[in-house]
Amino acid sequence: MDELEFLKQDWKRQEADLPVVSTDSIYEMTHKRSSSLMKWLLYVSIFEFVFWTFLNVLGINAEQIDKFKELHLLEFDIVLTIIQYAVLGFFIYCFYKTYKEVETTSSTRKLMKNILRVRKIVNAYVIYNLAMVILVSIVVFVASAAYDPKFDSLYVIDPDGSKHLPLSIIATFTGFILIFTLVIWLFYKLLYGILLKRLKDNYKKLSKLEMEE
Amino acid sequence: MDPQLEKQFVTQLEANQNIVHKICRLYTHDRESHNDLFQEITIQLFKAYPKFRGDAKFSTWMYRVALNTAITLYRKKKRSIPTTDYDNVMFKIASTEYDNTVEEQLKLMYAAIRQLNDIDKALVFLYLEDKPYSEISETLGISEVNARVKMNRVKSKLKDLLNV
Repeated sequence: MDELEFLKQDWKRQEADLPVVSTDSIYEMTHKRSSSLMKWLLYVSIFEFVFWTFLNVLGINAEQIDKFKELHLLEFDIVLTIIQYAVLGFFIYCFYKTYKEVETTSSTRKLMKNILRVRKIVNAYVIYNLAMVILVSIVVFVASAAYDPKFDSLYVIDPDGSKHLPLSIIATFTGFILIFTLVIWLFYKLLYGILLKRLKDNYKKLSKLEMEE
Repeated sequence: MDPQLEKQFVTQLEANQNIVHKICRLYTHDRESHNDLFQEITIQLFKAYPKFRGDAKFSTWMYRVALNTAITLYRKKKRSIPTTDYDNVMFKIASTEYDNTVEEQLKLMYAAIRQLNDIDKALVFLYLEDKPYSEISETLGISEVNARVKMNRVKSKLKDLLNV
């Protein structure tokens, strides 16, 4: 006799023995995507960490260090790098913690709370980075203006012998910072924006579910 | 997905969840991976649901998506299927009326099926589900003739495995 025919009989009988998943559990599963989105946020932040480390390592050479010394920025650069890594490490830790929580939670409300938290973390991180870009640009500009010999030719000598930078130079510099900040902002918008938008959509669906209940 | 559609999906999945459980039993060998696969299939079905137009039966569509998910995951993980743990795996021999010989034979058969490759497993699954070849071919995306030929090969493969 056909073995499979024989098995077919048992196959039908085993249906009574199958596990049953409740409606609530199915709902939860459909929203588990939040956890995979958060995993991606974690990956992106780690990627960023590696990327900046790579750039930093590439940028370290004797010439660069001399340049920093000349501009009196070496200490500033060292402190800044330490702060930058500490902050990045802290954000990675936050992403990891939320991701782990989301992965193990079965409560919709908790999931929603965590989605909001992740959005806050990302926003804080982006704002921190933009603020740093502006701060560093200003510090580098001021230091260059004070110590870089190339800047000497740009100064205007006043009749009383004192010197100052013309307004046009300062305006160009301000414009440059704004454009640079905008580029960095767009970069983050692209890097984290897509994931955040999906999380937001998921959040909306979850809140509708909560209201229906 | 709008909440109405989502509700509809959840209701339909709940009613047809047996199909997914049976696939999970065939492609996994402990409760944890069973649950993982169930969840993964649910997510894939949920993602694909807006494209389900209702021109096929929900269950037929479900067979297709669920089996594809199981096959893809199975390939990704390239799980080596242990052949020694079939005694305590998810398969329980359904009836207690069987005598020991029958029970033993069923165990051996389930163990043999576990050793089949991913596509052959899907074929056996649909066969055990009593699906006609027309539906098997549609679900697996192969021609009906091909499905019959493959099924015959699987049968002899199983015979070989059982006679070793």
